[in-house]
Amino acid sequence: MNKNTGALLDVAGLQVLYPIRGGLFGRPVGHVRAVEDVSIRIDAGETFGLAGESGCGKTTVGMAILQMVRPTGGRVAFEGTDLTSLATGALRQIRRDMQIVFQDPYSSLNPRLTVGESVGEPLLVHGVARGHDLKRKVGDLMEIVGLQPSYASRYPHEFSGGQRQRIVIARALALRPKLIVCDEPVSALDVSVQSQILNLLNDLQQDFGLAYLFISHDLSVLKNVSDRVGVMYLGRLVELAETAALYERTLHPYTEALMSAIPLPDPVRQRARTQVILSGEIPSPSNPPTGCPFHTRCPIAQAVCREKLPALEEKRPGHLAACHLRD
Amino acid sequence: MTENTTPLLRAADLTVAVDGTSLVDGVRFDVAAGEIMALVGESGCGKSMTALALMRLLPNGVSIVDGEVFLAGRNLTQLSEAEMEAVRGNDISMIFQEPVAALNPLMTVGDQVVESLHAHQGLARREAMEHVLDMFQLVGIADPRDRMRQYPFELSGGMCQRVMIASALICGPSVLIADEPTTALDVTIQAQILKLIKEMCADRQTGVVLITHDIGVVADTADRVAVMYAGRIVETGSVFEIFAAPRHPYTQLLLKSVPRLDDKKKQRLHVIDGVVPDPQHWPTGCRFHARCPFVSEQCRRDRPPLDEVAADHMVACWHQAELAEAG
Ligand SMILES: Nc1ncnc2c1ncn2[C@@H]1O[C@H](COP(=O)(O)OP(=O)(O)O)[C@@H](O)[C@H]1O
Ligand SMILES: Nc1ncnc2c1ncn2[C@@H]1O[C@H](COP(=O)(O)OP(=O)(O)O)[C@@H](O)[C@H]1O
Ligand SMILES: [Mg+2]
Ligand SMILES: [Mg+2]
Repeated sequence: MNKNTGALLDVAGLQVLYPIRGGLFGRPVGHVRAVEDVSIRIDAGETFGLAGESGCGKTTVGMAILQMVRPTGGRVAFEGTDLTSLATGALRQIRRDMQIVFQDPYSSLNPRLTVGESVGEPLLVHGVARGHDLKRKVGDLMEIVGLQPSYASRYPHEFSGGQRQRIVIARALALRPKLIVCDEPVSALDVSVQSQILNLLNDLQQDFGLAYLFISHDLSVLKNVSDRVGVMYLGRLVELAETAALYERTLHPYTEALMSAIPLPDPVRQRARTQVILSGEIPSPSNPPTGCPFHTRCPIAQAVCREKLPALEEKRPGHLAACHLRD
Repeated sequence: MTENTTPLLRAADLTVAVDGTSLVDGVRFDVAAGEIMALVGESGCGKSMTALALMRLLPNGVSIVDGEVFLAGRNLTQLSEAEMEAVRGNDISMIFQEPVAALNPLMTVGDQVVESLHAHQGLARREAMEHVLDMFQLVGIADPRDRMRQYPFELSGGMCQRVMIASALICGPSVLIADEPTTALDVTIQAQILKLIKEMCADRQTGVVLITHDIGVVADTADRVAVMYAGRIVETGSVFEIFAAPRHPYTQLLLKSVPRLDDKKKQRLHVIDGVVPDPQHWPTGCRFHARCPFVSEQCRRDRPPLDEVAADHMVACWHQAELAEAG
């Protein structure tokens, strides 16, 4: 049997450890356990939302999928091919199918290149287009993301944050990828511009059948874009479900606290809510707590939570959670 | 605005400019004791410049060119720098978005807060230390004795923000200016800090100017709201009134464009077309006219006055009456 399950992307048991170097000779003295045992499946045309607070490992998951960071464990299968065993050269072809868009549109564009050169770069590098054809393709891409093709001759500093993010998206689209990892693509933008970019990403998905891994710390943004959502804490997935199911009834106490911490944009309802305010801070991923990683901040933790790591189990159809106490 | 009582803090037609270009233009608002007034608007609207003008901490080359700031009736704009120095910290203090950057990296956080107390109240060091310890406890810093001996880089962003708040409040100022105090923090930490600000405000009857671009934060925390666009206040009112019956098209669109936890999946978001122009290109008439769906000839030509449309509800829009009727 073919191992290809039909999923576009199948991440299984992903682990990424970053060495902590110390001492005189820079020897590894420990590890940041950035990602531990993360499994995610993304189908063609689907958006998988990845949530969690800063430092929980979201960016590392995104980069490990693209092999920009090499995983220390697990596999990343793209259309059935395990990327973790591919040599760097062999990844080139696969990289055409997968792109990444980062949070900061300021640092992700080369200030010395015109916008047109930036957008066209992947086409040139992969030998897809040159000369007139390249120019026309760049113009088309700019139009697709809602920018005037005549802007192609301008430089990034002439554009606002939202426009720059459109340029970055145009470049990501150039090779007609099947998957785009969007790492906090709207977090640095104002709400009004945020919604422009979210609408654009939703439109592009419709038009091109794109799949997204959409990374965000903002659960209200994820609700808008995602088909399914996974919530991470200290490098691990603690809950994963269809968007509607997750937002209707959270199972993990961490997801609950995260939802509850987001203020509703409605003063009457917001003030009528009972908020779960977590005490304490996120522990260090170089020295995670024993047992359930969330037990040090969990409002309902029991003895078992301090001792045993809860498995990510299917508690109801399609709804997974890693909690000893909830089902 | 009622004229018969002296407000705690009043910005009276405050205008701030650099090289003849105004960045803040005739800003007017009052803040009462024990009241949290949110100043909201997209980035580049002049919120931070307003805050810095209130503190008389404007960057080089930028100055107050018109209007006054009154603190309990005292005109701060007429004080000498030495007099103003004594007012800062004692009567009015400020916290910033980047707590780690705002602290001195070379000094333990305990010493920094002791310093700010010492400078203002001439206390002996031991006495000051005890005071700081109490304050650290009050702002929810766990193990305050140990924390006091640490440097900013050893603490998390949330912890540094607590240190900043402790430092800002230690001399018991009557006004606190908080410029995006939670923007750089995770939501669970944001919830802790907002709760702290609300409690401090209520317990000490501090007047708070809370600057934010996060509509959820406004809904959660503010008593009153001032909406700023391109250097001007376009609408003010109680938080309930502003959310239930916003009159200015900018306020209406700003509130509508937020992705919400209670939206449907992949629901199209409202957008505000275009971006905030920079101060050199602020339009004539109503500055929002180029982005406004209700624009008319009058809007392009004449500046709309900030008129009282209901009790404690002011709006600067030529069409607010029609818009109110249309609902
Ligand atoms: N290159 C690196 N070397 C060492 N540690 C890293 C590196 N990149 C990230 N980390 C650490 O790994 C953890 C996860 O980081 P990241 O994936 O960036 O999280 P997120 O995107 O959720 O904020 C954090 O503790 C972070 O400090
Ligand atoms: N030192 C400065 N000199 C000239 N213009 C400035 C300076 N600092 C900020 N500005 C401009 O003033 C305007 C208002 O900025 P700011 O008050 O920081 O806005 P906000 O806090 O609402 O995002 C912006 O257009 C900004 O570019
Ligand atoms: Mg990240
Ligand atoms: Mg600002």
